[in-house]
Amino acid sequence: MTTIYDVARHAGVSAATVSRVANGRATVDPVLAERVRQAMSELKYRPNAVARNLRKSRTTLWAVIISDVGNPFFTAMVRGVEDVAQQAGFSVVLCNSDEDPAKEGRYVTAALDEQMAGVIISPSGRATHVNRLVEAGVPVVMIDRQVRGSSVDTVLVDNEHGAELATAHLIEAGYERIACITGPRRLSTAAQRLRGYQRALRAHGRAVPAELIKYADFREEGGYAAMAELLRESRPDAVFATNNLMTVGAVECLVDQGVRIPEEVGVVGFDNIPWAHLVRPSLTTVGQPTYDLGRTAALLLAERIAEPTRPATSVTLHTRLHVRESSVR
Amino acid sequence: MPTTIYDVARRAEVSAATVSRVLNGNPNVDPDMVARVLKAIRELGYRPNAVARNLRRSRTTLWAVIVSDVGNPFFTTLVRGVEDVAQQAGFSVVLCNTDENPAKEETYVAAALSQQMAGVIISTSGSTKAAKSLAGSPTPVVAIDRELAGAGVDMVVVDNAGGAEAATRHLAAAGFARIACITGPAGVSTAEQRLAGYLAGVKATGREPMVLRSTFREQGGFDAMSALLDAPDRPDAVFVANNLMAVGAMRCLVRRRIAVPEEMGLVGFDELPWADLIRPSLTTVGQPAYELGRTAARLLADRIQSPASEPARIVLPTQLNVRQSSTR
Repeated sequence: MTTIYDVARHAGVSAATVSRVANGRATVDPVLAERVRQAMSELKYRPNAVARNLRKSRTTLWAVIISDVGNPFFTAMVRGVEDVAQQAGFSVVLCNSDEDPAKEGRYVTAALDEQMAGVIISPSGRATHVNRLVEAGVPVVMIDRQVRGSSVDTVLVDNEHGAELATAHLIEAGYERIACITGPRRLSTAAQRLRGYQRALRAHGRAVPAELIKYADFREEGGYAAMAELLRESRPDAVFATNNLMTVGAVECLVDQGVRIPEEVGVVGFDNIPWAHLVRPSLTTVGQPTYDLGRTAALLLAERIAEPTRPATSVTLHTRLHVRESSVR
Repeated sequence: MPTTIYDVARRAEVSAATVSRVLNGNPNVDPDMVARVLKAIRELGYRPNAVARNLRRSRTTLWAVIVSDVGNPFFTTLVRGVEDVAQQAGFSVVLCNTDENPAKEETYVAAALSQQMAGVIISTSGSTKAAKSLAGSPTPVVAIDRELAGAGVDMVVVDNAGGAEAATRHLAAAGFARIACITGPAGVSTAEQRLAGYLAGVKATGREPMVLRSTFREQGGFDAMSALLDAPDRPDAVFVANNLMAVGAMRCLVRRRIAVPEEMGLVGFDELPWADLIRPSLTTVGQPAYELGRTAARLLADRIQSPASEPARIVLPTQLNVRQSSTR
């Protein structure tokens, strides 16, 4: 019987490469892939039954690996995933990596061990774990965040543009010293939103002073601490916070210190904030199409499962500025 | 002669194909059948053959946490509590959102059982079928927040009736005369117990009860509040039996320009993130959501260690947090 090793020898490639081609992965160099396919046909190679069964016995579960279950952005997104999954005959289990690459790694291992049918992941920083899924032939879609060195289906929003709109709005509302509280350096969303802020300042002929930029953790406490530092050190008259929880933290800090919004400090946040309309003053935000983000990722995953070899696509959805009370004086 | 898949099928009164589907972790099997098959496998000491064994390890290190609304911060806080204990005990947590839908609950229960997850923590959406299959399965189960009828499993809940009664008495003491209650769906233990506490509170303070049921969702709270405002004998205060419905009720009051607390006093059940930023700030019956999750996770870890011990029922206290919406 012809084995995978015979094919590998014949094609002059590794057995792992043969396996990737047999499993229909798009990550193999096309020249190599062609050589492998030719070797398979010349040697009349058939992947063995156990391996085929392993692939067939995939469950009907999708794992959605998100980085913070306490952030309503992610849970709203999951609702979009669920609705598509259900129609396509899949159930969704949600895994909280808690911005911790080690936890993310454990969930990726679980998804592999459990032979889940597909994974949607908002990666916590590096490509390693995403690539493990790709190499194992598990259909993957990245959502919300990009990582370098991984070519898989991706759904994002126009982070830079949204941040630019937010910052330009604060400039036009007459604020002079506009600070930015952004997220961890390793995350694409944090970097892109910071870039949008810088771009808007430059476009309006403003300087971009380093002391007005703070890196925090995308959580409420981080937003609070960053705002406190800004007030102590560089006294801005406006702040753009690059996610919902940090916006809440920053506003809590301003309220605690008796700083009036929007008179003394204007505030714009990124992401929708649940019951933002009940907060006084109501908060200006850059809204993301959260539910559609989840829906689109789920549609891509369903297509990827149906057609594993199609080229990877990247979808970017639009953001919108919702002007409310916190940024208009 | 070793036990075969056909022996299991006969014992469980299902087809061999169904046994095979259960062994392969196919979630599209009726939860009752999954429970029966797993029971038969255990009773007969059936071991799948080597290929099948390789396909499926006997038990995973996953816990399924099945909640009724992943959009409700109460549940996500609770899950954080579960996760922190699970991690120490060497388990990972996957979260399943049943969306207050009994059919989805059955699907997830079937998936957890057929995937042979190491344990299940569930806040039920009310499927008796799911409760039955959990009760009949060898998988360790802990009910959290909501009681699981007739399942005889470990349970962690809060003092719902006590919290609701305290909220109602507080509104009466603040001088509100006609106190209404918006509670959740019939048959959900938290909705029933909070209603019972409210009824005890209005009775003790010599007031007439006025009750509406809704969905435990924001829109449900909005609609119920709207109906109360249009009622011939409009209340001057309302006790709302969960956080999202309280947000909906508040949104309705803002929309209709009813002053809170002057024209309408409001107390919600469950904390709300950034409740302190809302104006007027919201009086709530706080639940120890994180602690609830931690306690359930400890019970589950214990249950996995000693499957035979008596089921425990733990009741955690609630706390009334008086803010602006209920004091005039």
